[in-house]
Amino acid sequence: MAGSLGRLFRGFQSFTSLPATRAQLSHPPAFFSSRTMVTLPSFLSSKPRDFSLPNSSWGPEMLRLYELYNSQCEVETEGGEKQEGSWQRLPSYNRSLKFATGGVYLSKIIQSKARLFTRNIREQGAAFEYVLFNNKEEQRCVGIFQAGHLLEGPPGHVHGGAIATMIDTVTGTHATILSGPVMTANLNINYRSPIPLGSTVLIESSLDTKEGRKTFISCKVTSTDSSKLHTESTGDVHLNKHSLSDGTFLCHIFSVSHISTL
Amino acid sequence: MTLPSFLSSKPRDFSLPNSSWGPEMLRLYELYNSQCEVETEGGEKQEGSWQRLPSYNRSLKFATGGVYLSKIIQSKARLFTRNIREQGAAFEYVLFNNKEEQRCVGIFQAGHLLEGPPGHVHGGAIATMIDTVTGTHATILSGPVMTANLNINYRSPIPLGSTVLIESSLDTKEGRKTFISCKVTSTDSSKLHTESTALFLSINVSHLLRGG
Repeated sequence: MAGSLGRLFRGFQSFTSLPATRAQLSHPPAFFSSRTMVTLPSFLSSKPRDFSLPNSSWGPEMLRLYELYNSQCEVETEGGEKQEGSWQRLPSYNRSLKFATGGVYLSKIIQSKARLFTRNIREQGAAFEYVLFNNKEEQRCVGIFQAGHLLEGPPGHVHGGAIATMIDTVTGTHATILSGPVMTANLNINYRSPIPLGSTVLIESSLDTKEGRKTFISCKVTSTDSSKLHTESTGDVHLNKHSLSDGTFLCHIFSVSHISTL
Repeated sequence: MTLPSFLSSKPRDFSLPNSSWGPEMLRLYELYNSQCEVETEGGEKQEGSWQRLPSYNRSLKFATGGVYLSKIIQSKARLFTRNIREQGAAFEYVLFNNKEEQRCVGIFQAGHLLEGPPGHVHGGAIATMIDTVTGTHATILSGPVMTANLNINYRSPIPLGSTVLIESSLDTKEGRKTFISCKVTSTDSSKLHTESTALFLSINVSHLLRGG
């Protein structure tokens, strides 16, 4: 218990000593890198709900792909041995600050009813159902995404903004893992084929390059069998010529393309 | 077609002021609404360059023939930007169109359920609104369209709860392609939040409804 509290306090201190001045805090990072949750006794625990775990709304394709990547994750067996795994499942919460290290203290100060956009609806399966896996060695990140009925754009299909939101989520998480706290500076998305509402897609993010404060990432969205793949690189976007707003926060630039096949 | 009120299933127009709208939202709404065409009591039409666009939470039910289509499709689907009932919680917006100048503006107030970076609006929510405003504009200009490309440059984060102005203008049209530019600014136009371009392709709607 004392050890846990000690870690909480140290975590809180390390948050406040992040290279973030007051000015920077007005431009906060998109994500805090995921850290191990502190474990409290259960009667005190306000363990946040991890949204990236299977629930009854997940269809067969969602479950199949989840199992595919989850089985390649590192697990600690009963004997205390570690089974190697190249993938790592990333937890997902609906509030960014409350569950960061030291977040329990911050949430009392901020008293926010704000919720992360992709986790703002409680009804399972109604909006965004997704889970992210990271492959550290290959510097790849994949998201499995099932689009619920509240994400409609063109009749019977997923809204372009919802697709953009998922691309921002997967690439943003990936960039944070690679480069620490970042914010989106550019999204360039080519919509090839509409995604049917209710279907499951695979979102694959890969690092293009890093230049100083900039992180360039490519991303493609495909059907779950990946068999019909239409690719287009958007590396011709002249991101370097765009003047970035000055700021004391780290920023990154995406170059993304979206491909979906029916 | 007007039904007797006890039979009318008049859809709710979400682009009208409600109690969640803050002062900036109301101010800008009044600014553009006062420039809309109105029909006075005397039957005279007062000219107006702007036109307020209604907004519904289901695309098919209220399209022409939609009453029949919705019985077939039986959908509980909702338009992404209108999928939350609680007023002010997510997207509060209204679009105005200026036919002559080929411009479209959206006034957008971002609710607390749209968070991305702590205290600020999610980049995907911003992309969604840009897609909405430019997509509506392209539809007015070119008929049924689908988004082919969105290229968004995020300049400055938008504080959660604030109101912004989204201005869409036509760049050019080439065959099936409609090129549109869009910028998102603070309500006094002093701060540029995002700059973006969008490409839309004209589509055959029946092809889409068949699920092709």
